[in-house]
Amino acid sequence: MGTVTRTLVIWCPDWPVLALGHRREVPAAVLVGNRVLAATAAARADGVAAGMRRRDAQARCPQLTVVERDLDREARAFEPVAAVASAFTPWVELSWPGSCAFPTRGPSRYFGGDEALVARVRDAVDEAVPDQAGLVRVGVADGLFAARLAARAGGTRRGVLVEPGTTPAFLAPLPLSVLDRPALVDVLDRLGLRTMGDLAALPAADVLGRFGEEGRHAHRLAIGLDEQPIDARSAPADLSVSTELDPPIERIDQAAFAAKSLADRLSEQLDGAGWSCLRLAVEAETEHGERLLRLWRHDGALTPGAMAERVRWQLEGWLSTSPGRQPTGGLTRLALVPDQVVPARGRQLGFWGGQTEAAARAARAAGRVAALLGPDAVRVVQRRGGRQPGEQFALLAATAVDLVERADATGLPAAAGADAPWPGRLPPPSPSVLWGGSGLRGEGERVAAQVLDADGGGVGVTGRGELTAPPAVLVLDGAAVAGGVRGPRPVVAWAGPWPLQERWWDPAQRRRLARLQLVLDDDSAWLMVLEGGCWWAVATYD
Amino acid sequence: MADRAAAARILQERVRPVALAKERVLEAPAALAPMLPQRGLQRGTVVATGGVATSLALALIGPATASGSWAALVGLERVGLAAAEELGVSLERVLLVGPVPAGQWAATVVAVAESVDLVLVAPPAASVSPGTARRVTARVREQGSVLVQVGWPSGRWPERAALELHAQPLGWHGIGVGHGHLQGRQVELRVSGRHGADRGLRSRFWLPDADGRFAPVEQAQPAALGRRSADEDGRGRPGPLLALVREPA
Repeated sequence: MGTVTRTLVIWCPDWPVLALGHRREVPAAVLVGNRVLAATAAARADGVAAGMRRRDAQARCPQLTVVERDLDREARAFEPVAAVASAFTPWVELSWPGSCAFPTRGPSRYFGGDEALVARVRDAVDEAVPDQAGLVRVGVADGLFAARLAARAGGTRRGVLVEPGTTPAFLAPLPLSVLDRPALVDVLDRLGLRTMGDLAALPAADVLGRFGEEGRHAHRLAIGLDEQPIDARSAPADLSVSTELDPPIERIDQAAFAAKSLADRLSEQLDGAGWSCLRLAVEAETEHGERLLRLWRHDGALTPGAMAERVRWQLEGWLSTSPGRQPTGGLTRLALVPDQVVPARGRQLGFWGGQTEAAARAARAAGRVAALLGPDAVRVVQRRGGRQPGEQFALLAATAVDLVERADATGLPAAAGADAPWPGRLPPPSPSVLWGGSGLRGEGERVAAQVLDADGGGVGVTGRGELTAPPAVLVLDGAAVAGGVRGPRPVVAWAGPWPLQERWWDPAQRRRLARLQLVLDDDSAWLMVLEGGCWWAVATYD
Repeated sequence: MADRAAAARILQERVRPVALAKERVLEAPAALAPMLPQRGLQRGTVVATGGVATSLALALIGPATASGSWAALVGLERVGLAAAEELGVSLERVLLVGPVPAGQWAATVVAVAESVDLVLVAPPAASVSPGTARRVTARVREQGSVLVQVGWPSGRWPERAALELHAQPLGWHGIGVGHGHLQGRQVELRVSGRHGADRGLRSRFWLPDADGRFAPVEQAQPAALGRRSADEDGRGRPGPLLALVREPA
């Protein structure tokens, strides 16, 4: 059994939308990927809910202001709240803009109990952030997870205080959805487990045996133990990285650069030592000797990108906060200390390599060739929809794609519309050589050709989709391209024409063409297209 | 003593290399495997394809890519990816490399062969010098990849490939004079090469069949539409088909 830290959580509801300066009385919503992430109280009153599509949200609330998420602004706007919390204790940790937490042991003894502490924190936050007055919620419970839920509970009381030792009882009636693991909760629900209490009642060993690490984690939360992994520990001191900033940083754009390079260095060191970082301390010193410290926590392990993002948020927060709270000078020193680490479990490669290894090797090859021939010379395939053989796949520069991640996904990545039936496609077999190349929308290199009838006259297609005469001779003009087939060649078999009209409603992109398959006397087969009065050889079945 | 001998034998079994270099092969199409000396594509060798070369090369690498090997197509920007997929190639493990300037040809092929199991290469503009060829083959052998030459005219490569596959087209099925559509093509596949490949084996295959796949010609096919059905070259004759036939000496 791990010990559980009594924790206080300050939570600003609807932070993604309120941080952008929208008043709660005005209907507004923040969207991520066309889905509502958060909405103001006024919007919720009209029926806008998280997870709703933009269209549905606007249908329910036509005057709704819709904005995209801006994490940087959220983080900057949250800095005053975090600063208030850090007046109570330096051990304030942030996991996401909008919520911060600290252990209550020291401060609550000083202020005379949890209740007094909560009252003081609320007052201090209301005073420091007048916009949010009366909205910020504070919860106290054993462990971070329970404290977060305590801050959400209590309705108009703005958070509850869970007495020490009663956390499991507080959690028991809550639905499993608070775990925020939809896949696991779905399975548990089908097994008849509806509340945290149901899950907590199961023997830990059975949950681990059936659901593995994820189940064990959920069970620990349900019985009121902290969500930290058992093997979390404080990091050896020598893993921290620091840099002197000369000239001192005073602007946000300079901070972003410093954050990125320092985070990269730290992640390199952690990788080398075999650790992943759970909680990161960002320390800064100013020209006048002030020391700033803030802790950032991540529920999983922090990736280099996530680390850089958090460092940037923190520096921006410090530099852009209101005058009076701002540090008195530029930042002269920046240090990142991995405060809590776990052994990196990462992705274990198979003994003999395996998929991931092969993909990593392919990525190396792509990198080398890109260095040799330029970044666009190595490409990978993406499925896309289309009726013409060249349109069915798109090519992406391999250096812009994470090949290792692609290898873990099953099947080929597909663009929107790739699974559509695309009526009008020719049935298989598909041509193996496209003169225009793959991944092109029609345009590109095509081989001009003439299709002639037995008397040497040109063959056309009537408005009713019929050939004017049976084709007898194929003359390829771009003979150099077309595999050395020169001059007129007799046609021994043919089929078609199959007319195709695409995007007839769009004057810029509409296409009207007819396709024809020809077999020549040397058994070569050709796919011909008649478009705009000209014949083109578009593909060969080599 | 008997126990000791048995223990020594067990130990011998244990310390034996798991795979001999000769046995390191990549999976070839099941229908083709009996015709290949190692029943697969031997790593570290050069394979040449001719005749209906593009389809043949794609069919050849299909099973290997499906079982996890990566393939690079060098200078083959015109390859029909839909056809490649129908022939069994897993496109998520395919790199398309090109266009390759003439001066960078060898460097590109070597760079790719170092990290990718299967390298399909279009014929270079000029014939490859013996020195360059030695360098490329040495690297391919070292890294255990397979270099597949797709439709190279004779003389472009100074030495003979370890395995030469030639698919001679025999005619299209499903298309007539003004009716039907291309449904399949029969080819006669000849295997030659070095190191036990030169047994003169030949057999008939669909390349592609009606679903676009590579498949053996199983039995007497219903009379095909089109030119060849009218020919006298024995369309209705139940060919040697699956049975492997030794070329008369």
